[in-house]
Amino acid sequence: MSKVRVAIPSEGNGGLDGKRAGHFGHCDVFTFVDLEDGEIKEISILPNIEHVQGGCMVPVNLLAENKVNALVVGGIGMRPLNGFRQVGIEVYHDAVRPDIRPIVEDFIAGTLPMITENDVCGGGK
Amino acid sequence: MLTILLVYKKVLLFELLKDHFAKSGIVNVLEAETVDEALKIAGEISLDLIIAAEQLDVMSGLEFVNILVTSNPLINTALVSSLSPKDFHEATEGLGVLMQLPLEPRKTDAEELLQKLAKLANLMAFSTGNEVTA
Repeated sequence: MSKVRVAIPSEGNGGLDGKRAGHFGHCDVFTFVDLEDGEIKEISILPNIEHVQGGCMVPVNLLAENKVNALVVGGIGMRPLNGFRQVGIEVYHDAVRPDIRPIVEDFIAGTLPMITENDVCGGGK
Repeated sequence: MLTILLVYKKVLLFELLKDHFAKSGIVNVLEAETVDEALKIAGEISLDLIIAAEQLDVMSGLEFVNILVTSNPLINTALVSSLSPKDFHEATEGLGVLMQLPLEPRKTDAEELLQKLAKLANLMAFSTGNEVTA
């Protein structure tokens, strides 16, 4: 039985019918989608923690502590990306669609691409 | 006790920082003169912060931070830079640099660094205890 927890940085209250946040570090909440054998079992919400300069590892630690296996981002910096990789959280990428639901559907279908170094934000490329 | 690594080749560059860290009683200061030495220490010792000079022996401090975020992303960094704050922000975006330091860092910079590290430590502790509520 395959269980996966996917986190999606979200605006406002989040949820499966909510909107994604453009940059994971500044999101309001994380929408957690718990999957079991490719089916959605539970949706839950985790408030983000205050983002400060240099505080990239705070959300990495937050998601690792909450047993997240995969993260879907529209944008992320090189340091937090490597932090997620180091704690074993896979990072997927979609910079276009604002809605959460189709992103989750693509994740389940296995068609969402993993992020590459070419997709990261800022001067740290 | 915090462990902070200073990476620089100009002998007197970080004297005021070192002096304040020593007086604080909560910082263990390590020093490295080369990038290779710094990366070796970073791989062997748990560091809370690396402070790098603008120019190191074989590369810029910014290039060094770029390497560090790949090999040791969990380590916080501060970087001496002559760039304007706006240009510095652009150059380091995504690298998670804790603080830009002036060309001649002073006691007030050391104090600010320790305050920022304390705040980060609090946020990390909070993130460890924060669980799904809804």
